[in-house]
Amino acid sequence: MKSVIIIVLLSGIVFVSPAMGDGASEESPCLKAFSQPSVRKAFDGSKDEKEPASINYVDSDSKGTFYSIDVGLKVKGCEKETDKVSWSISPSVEFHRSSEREKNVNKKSFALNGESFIGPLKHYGADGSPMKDLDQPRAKIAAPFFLVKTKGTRDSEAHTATASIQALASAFSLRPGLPGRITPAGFRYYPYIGLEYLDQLPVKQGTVVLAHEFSGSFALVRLYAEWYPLRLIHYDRLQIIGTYTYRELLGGKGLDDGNPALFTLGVNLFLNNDETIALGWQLEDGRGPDLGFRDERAVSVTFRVKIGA
Amino acid sequence: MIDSATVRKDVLHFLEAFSGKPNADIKDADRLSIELHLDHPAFIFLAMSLRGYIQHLAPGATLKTSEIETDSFTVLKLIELVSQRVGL
Repeated sequence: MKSVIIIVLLSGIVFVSPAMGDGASEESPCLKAFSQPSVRKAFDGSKDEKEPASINYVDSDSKGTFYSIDVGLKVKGCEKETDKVSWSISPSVEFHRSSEREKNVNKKSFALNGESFIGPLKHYGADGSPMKDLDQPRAKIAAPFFLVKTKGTRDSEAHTATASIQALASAFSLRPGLPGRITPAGFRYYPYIGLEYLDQLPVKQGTVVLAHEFSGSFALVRLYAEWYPLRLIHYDRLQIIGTYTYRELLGGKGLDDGNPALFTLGVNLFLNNDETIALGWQLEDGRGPDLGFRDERAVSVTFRVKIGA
Repeated sequence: MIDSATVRKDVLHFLEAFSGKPNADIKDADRLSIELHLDHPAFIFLAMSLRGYIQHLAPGATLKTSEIETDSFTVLKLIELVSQRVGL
């Protein structure tokens, strides 16, 4: 049996500018925009983010001869950090190509993630009392922050394209009871409001269409809550996370069943002190974009291992 | 002139504000993200507060969020980093 596999792995490349890390102020937010590129297999939030990019040549009896390329490039982009504001923009591009018979892949995608945090904040002690000695001039009780995620993918084999843009705003505070502040009992929450645009393909199982393609925009409201129920006894390994997301359709086509809402509840039990190994349980109930806004109730149990930093 | 003991006390107070935990539960923490439950926004605003503190004591000096937002960053390392940035 003939089987030849040639794999070229392109390790993550990091060029560290000699001026970084010395504590000196930096003048231009984009001066070093392309000085710290990372090359990986993908930047999709999966385990592929830990894998190096690869170019494969395969010659086998069962699959024939084919090649595949999986390359993701992410650069640091622009960032600015001062005593009053912190913002960053990081772009990434990906290219995935495979000439394997009956499994041709030819996808290109572009993503841009941005975040902005506007301070400074007033400080409060563990008992909730103000810590005015730590406050900067014009410090605020609560500070807004903004998150933007965009992604576009072009599939040249299927002749399709998908796109998504999500912009969210929330707030952070150190005052007990307000968003962001964690209580002694380990509870904190964030409310989000925002806008979202989605251009999605239909969801299929074989030839059966489970959810039609959708193209449109939403106003979005999300409540995120997190609880470490055993924090008071210094046991940090149990985490409960709940989110409720409501989307109000602003315009578009392909959504027939009214405004979608999605509730998720997750429980994570970390099995080691570094929180790299976890057992998880998750409930999803409602309609979310991952399944084309089809009504679903799903329970899953996961075992997760985090490798690398 | 600032001294090491004052910087240590102030950094512990910053961590108290961001973790909601009293000083006694903070000083020996080995992992800021796990034992003090600092999430991403908390690290961003903690770094912002520390930059304000550092720049007040040593104009021109700073620190980046990425320097402290790592899995293994300890309270001791944070005190050392801030001390170094203010010239101690």
